Amino acid sequence: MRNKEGAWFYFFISPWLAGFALLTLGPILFSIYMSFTDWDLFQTPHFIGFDNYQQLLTEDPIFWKSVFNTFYYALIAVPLGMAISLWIAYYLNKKLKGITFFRVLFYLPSVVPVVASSLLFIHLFAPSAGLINKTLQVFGIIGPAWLLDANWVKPALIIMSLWGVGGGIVLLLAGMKGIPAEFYEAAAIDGASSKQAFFRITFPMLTPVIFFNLVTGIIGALQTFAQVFIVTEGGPDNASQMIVPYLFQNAFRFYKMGYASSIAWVLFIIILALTLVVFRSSALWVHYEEGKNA
Amino acid sequence: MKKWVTATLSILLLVGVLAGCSGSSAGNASTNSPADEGTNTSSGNNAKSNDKPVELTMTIWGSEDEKKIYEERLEVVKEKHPNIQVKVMLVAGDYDQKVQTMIAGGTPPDIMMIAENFQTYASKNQIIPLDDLIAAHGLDMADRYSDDIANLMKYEGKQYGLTDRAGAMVLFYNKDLFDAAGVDYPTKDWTQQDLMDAAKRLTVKNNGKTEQWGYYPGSWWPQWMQLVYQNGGSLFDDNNKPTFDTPEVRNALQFLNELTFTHGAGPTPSEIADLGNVGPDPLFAQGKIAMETTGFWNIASLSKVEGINWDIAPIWGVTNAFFNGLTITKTSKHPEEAFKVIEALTTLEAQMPIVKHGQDAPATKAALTSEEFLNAEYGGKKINMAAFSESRIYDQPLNPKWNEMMKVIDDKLGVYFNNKSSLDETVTQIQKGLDNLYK
Repeated sequence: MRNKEGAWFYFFISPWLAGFALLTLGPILFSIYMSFTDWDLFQTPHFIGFDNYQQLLTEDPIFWKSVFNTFYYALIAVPLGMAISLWIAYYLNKKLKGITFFRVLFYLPSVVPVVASSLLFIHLFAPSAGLINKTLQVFGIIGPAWLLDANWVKPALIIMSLWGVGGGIVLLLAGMKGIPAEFYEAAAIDGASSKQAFFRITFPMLTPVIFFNLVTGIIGALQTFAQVFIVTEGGPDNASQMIVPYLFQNAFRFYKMGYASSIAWVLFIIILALTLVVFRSSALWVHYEEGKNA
Repeated sequence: MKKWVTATLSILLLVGVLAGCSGSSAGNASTNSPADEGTNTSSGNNAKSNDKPVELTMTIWGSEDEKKIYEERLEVVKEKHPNIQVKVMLVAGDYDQKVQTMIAGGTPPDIMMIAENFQTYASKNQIIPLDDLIAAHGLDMADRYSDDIANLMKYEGKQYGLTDRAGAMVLFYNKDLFDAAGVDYPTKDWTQQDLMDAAKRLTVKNNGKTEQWGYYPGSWWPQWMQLVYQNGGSLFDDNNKPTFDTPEVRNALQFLNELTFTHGAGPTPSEIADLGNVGPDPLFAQGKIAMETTGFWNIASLSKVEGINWDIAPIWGVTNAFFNGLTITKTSKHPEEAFKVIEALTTLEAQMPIVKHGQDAPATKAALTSEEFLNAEYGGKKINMAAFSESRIYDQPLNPKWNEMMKVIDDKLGVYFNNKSSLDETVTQIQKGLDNLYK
């Protein structure tokens, strides 16, 4: 019985496995080798040992700048995005008239393609004519030049990332719907306040979803590409350059595919390390209702 | 978007695996071939291939309309070489990346349209020098092209392509705004100082807010680079060492910075962002800027705009050319036929559709001085088309590391043109970056 089921498992998953082996695993292994060569996309690659890695880690200030920027972005954008999505999801879970409308409203931006929203934000961030600075002006604040200012370009990208919190909201909302009503009834009988109910019931019950959002959020933030590529092109003077756009530049603008491959592997190691840390830490704060034997 | 990039990368890399396996042997074998073709009895090969039908692929960028213009031109070629069929492949999106993928994947185009970065392909042995073919077919380059236009497609002394379209950068000016400010129209006798004076007088302010700017320098490389060469400077010396930290470069950059920030005669990056980042062409069409320097394409756009009274003038001193040419890929199986096609495409007859449709300035002498080009009407009026043949073009510092060079420069210049760093700091940092790149 079990064997038969196993056979079906492999049967159904085989198209994906074949695709993975051919289209993903092959190139991945190939790029490991390429990261040790001077491949320029056209000519026969030469093996150059650790030269790419050495140059990357010791002689390339733009790489380190892009690592710093990427972490700056991820460290603020991910927690902030998660907090805001939890906050909004909490209110969208209320039983109010027309709440479905608001749920759609908050999810809608996540459906808009990044390219479109990026073009929109270029206009929103315009120094005087942009909607954001015009709004600030109402309160007597003179806004910065955002995308043109080395100090404000990263915060601008972070603000832009909040546009996409809808995806996280939907997952949290689904998680909230899954919390049995008895818990809240019991808490109400014991006289718990709504604040207590949130921190003692809602939040712990949501930790698996939050954990998922955290891991995918970190990976997504570290791989940020389109926003930078479209909105700032890494400028001014690489103040918003991030790892993946820099990788792309090296590969397809500078024809340094070997070097770009080494950037990809350094990024992979960073992501792997961070993900492992988050996974290890999950035992401390992620609560699974069924217990560990599930 | 991210997924798309990953997918493209993966496919490209996979293709690379497959190409990499065969790459070493094929690469070695083909290194000898161009010499062989040159010395071999090419006439014998010719006679045979003349009868044989051959199909070639040619990659271009542009619009669907432009594709039709190329097809129309290839009809002319077909009359001359009925056995050669050319398939035009219009690449939408990232042209370089697509062509790279085709080459890496072992299905390269035979003929490749290419612009400034042809040297990258030449240095990486992906397109072939045409000198032997030019000699074998008795093509008189001096008759077909002016020297500076033929030279645009030379790399290390060899001709790598036949220039197909090449328009000098020209000065577009709004006659009504000039008349209103009482400024004389620009001529070839202008100097940089005349540009500055006119720009100042053509700037209109209202309540401290600029409503009309004299000139739009922007940070795009042709704008500052032409000034460098007008000053007698260059980006490299005779030994190909970068010469960015020089008075000629400093003066050029300072000129533009002062025009914008000291005199307010050009929009600042903040003002450009407030205007919606649309670039100079629409702003010129709206009458918000009185002068801009740009390429032929703006003629076609302006001819569709009603109610603007404009003309063009050649630029004082040297300027740059926007060009593209036709090259033959290394791995093409039919270089002989491909050459016949690009030769035929650069005859007067096959260049005429470019003129007829107002697509661009043609590259050949014959087409540039043809009645049709000089008297062409755009939007129902004649303009000073002689500006294109009167322009002198400087020897552009094209090189295989062009893209990397521009990044080193643009990273710092972007800040300087926003008045956020000193000239000294900017120039020395760029010099350092270039020294490092070309060491």
